[in-house]
Amino acid sequence: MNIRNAIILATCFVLLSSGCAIDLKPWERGVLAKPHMSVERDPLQRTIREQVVTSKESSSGGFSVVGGGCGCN
Amino acid sequence: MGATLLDAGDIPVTYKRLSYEEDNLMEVEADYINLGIPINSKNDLLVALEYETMSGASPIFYTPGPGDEIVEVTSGASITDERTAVSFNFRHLTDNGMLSITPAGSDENDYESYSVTTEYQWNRNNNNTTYSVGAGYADDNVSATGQDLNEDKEGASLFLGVTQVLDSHSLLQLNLSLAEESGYLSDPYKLVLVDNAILSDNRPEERGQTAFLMRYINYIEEDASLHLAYRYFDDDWGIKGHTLETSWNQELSNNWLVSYNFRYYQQDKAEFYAPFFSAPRPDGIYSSDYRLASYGSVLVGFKLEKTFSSNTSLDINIEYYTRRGDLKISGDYSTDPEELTSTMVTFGISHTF
Repeated sequence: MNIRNAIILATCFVLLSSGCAIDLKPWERGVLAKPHMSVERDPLQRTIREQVVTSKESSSGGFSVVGGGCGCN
Repeated sequence: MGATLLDAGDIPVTYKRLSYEEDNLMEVEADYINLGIPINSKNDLLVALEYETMSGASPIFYTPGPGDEIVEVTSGASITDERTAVSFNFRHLTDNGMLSITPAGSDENDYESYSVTTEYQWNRNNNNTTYSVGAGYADDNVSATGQDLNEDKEGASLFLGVTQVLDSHSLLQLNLSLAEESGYLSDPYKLVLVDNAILSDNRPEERGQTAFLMRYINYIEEDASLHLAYRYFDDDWGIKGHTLETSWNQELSNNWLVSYNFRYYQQDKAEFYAPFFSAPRPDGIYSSDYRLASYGSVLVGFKLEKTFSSNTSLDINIEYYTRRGDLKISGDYSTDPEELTSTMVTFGISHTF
């Protein structure tokens, strides 16, 4: 439980303190606009990957808001 | 960075077909269709449809064999099921962000799920920072083929995230999700051997879960990117999971893109897991589901994608997965009778009309 609480506190701290580090102008963002630089380039492939691995493993969550489940055998 | 709506008049459609096969156990074939529909300058809708069929065998319980051996008893090739799922993601553009709400439902022979999730993404600092806050609720119903079982299961979740541009070549994302499940969380098809008696799988009726995800993306000259992700997972049942993902994406000439994917995972077992029990537990909580054991897994994958000038792209993604007790790097691991290996092949086509 201690690790969990530490992670929650650390994340809240980062959430509150970030956003003051950099101010890139739109014309400096060419590289970041490349499709393979997006955080989730292929969201459907991510959905499939998470479906497959969470039917075999016990960890889930973190990638997006958690919705409904499945009766995975 | 910073979510945007579909361009006016564009209707993107993606189709993927998944073929998943475990050695000697389950086989899954699934079709996915994602469709984007612009509504007006402030609103659009993303629809996701899925149809899946599965068949094959699944482990039911374990018995002690000769020596230290553990014998797996599987269902034989008796399980078949199909799953239909649909979700509607309504997105509304605000002055500096996006609000989305997603009702979703899925139906299987032995499982029904209705859920709704909502998320707000807030772009700050000239789109160099995006905050995300979300929540989800699910109302599920569990039954079992060949059994008189009808049980409820509920889930509620919270999500917090921040994505930060670090410089013109890299960005960092931190996400935290908290989830609470309650109701029937056991597996109706699993059994447990307790002191020579065969009992039903019986798990606690509450499960709190925390997942923390960190993703780092870095552009590498020429025309490549490295994606790194680490997830820490922790739950009330004693499971602690560590997931590490890496992906190297390389642009090639003529709009080809190749990605090499690697994923490592390990977990510590649930406190009520054992392959079999020599004495009853005072709380009557038992599971021999290997998914709750201590083990590691390795996934290696390869994806090839070609984009054509006519707003069309094709991709093929191949992944090979192995799960085994001794792949766990740190701490004790559970003895497993059979390693699980599986192959997943996805073929995709996208076109924007």
